[in-house]
Amino acid sequence: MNDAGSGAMLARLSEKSRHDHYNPYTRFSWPDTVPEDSWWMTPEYLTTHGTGLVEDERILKALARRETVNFFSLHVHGIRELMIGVSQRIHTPDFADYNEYLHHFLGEENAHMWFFAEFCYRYAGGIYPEAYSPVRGEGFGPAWEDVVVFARILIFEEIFDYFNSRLGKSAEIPAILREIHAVHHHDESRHVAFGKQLLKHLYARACEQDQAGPERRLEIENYIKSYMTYSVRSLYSPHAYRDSGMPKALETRRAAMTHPVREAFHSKVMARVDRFFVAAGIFQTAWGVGNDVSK
Amino acid sequence: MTSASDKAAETDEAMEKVVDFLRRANDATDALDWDQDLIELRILDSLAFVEFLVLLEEITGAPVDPGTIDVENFRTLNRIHAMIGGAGSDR
Repeated sequence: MNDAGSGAMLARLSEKSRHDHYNPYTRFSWPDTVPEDSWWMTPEYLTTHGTGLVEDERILKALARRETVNFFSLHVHGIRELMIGVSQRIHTPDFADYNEYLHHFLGEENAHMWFFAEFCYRYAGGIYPEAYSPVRGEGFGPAWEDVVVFARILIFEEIFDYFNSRLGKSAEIPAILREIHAVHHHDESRHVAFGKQLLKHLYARACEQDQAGPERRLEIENYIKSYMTYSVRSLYSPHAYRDSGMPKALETRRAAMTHPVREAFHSKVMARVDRFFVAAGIFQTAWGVGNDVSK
Repeated sequence: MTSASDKAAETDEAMEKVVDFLRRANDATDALDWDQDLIELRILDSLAFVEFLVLLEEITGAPVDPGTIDVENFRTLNRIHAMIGGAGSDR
């Protein structure tokens, strides 16, 4: 199902995974505590940054702790979806060429899920629950379902990598946090490269199989863009805002989320994946043009 | 003590926020009959619903547990109005 180029890429990624393999359970030196008076997240990556809505450093540090928990919780829940999606497809005929690499992929994602959850349980009382929607899902049909699932995975991986790559180098945050971000960033570069290749293939296959034509493609584009908006909103956790102890937590959250400075930041976070969707022909227009997360 | 007219005014104000949220999600909101099904018409989809619940929590000041809520109460603007205001008048 794949051409020689993607076959070579899969072989290269598998080799790299074998070479870089580590035991996640012994990889980190977990300190007894992580000081609460330190910044758990560099201030410029807090969701209130640039809005002037919260000035009290005590509350901002609490928000940094709770947004770290939210961020890691989103990883845990996102990885669960990813592992379910991949597990359902590995060793099935349509994914036969990907089997070898998917084993590495699942193994690495399992490790990531463990260390993100481990941090939260050790130092912060656990993870936040998944944002659950009581409304049923999309129902685009099997071929498009593959596209939608892997597009969602790619979006969350790209968002997280934006933060991981930067916080993994931050001297301001405690060493254990810096290391977690850095390790994740190192593995994710492979996963993102793989995810893009796979998604292009799945999209081409769905277009070929689908009789619905351009209307369905537009519907998929709109759905993926809504998911990008949804993903940006998920960074502004109502739990984190409330648990930081700030007054009028939900009002402040909404004001921050829709602040013009933040809207520009959202486009920056999404720029790379947005460009990919346009270049791959999955988007006719970029999400970043007129994105509004209040929608 | 809040009088019945104060309560009605609060509910109307809350409904303005709800309609404004839905309008931003979908232009068709203004043309809606308040008995039309928001989920069937895809004004509220699974992704928007998560944020919609946060808005309701913000409006009512009471925590909303997505795991236990009854989606039927959110299907139309009239039902949302009734839920927010207790006994709301139909539109």
